Amino acid sequence: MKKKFLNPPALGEADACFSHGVRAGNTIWVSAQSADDAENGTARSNDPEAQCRAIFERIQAVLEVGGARLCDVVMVRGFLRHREHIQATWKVRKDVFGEHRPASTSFIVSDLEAEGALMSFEVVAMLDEACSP
Amino acid sequence: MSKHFYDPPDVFSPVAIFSHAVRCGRTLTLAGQAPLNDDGTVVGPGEPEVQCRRVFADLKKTLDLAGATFERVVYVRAYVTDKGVLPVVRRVASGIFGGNRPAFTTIVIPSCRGAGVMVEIELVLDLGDDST
Repeated sequence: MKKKFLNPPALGEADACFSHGVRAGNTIWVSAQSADDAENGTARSNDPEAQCRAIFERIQAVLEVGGARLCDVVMVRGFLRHREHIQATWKVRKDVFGEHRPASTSFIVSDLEAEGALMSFEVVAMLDEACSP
Repeated sequence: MSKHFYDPPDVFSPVAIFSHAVRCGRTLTLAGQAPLNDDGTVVGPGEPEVQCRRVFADLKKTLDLAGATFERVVYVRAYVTDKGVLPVVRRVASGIFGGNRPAFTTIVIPSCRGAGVMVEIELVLDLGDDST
């Protein structure tokens, strides 16, 4: 199977030579997403919970184009500007993933590219018969 | 499934505790590559473009040894010490990946391990069904 580039139009153009996600075989690699508005590249709010929700909506959109769902995610990496926002991300992730518990690493970073972004998240998903359509 | 380890002799290794690349099945995972001279000093201090080009040149040596090409890259993670370096990474990468469009994560960190290093890049490749 040839690899497939996953670029849902609603997310806006991925920059330069990159994609929002790639599916190769049964693995889907999703680029770190931040809550920036596709129109102007600015984060939509200064609320960590709202940004986190917006990010996982974007991730879900990329996964869908690749034929996967959130329950196919095996690894989550979070990049946060502020340590104190981690509880807000846990709350959102609990809502988003429910009982599904992927592996996870969190980083506190010194900056993020998108203006106003408080965090970004990337995921890796692997499809298996039990979960995927 | 056996693993294969790749360490190009002409790419600097700061410490012999890791490999530059490991292949398991169809997946080839590369270590973060920093722009370092043979003596471990940084290439092009203060010059992000020089550093980026060196990083991709060294990554290519590792890929060559593993018999792989940039066309098979599915994931790029760029660690930079200043987000101003990211447009340079994109520009250099655009000339290298061509029609391939990998996933891309950027991570801005306070400093890299090597003094003066402004960019470090790690790759994941999918070598396809025929590689297993």
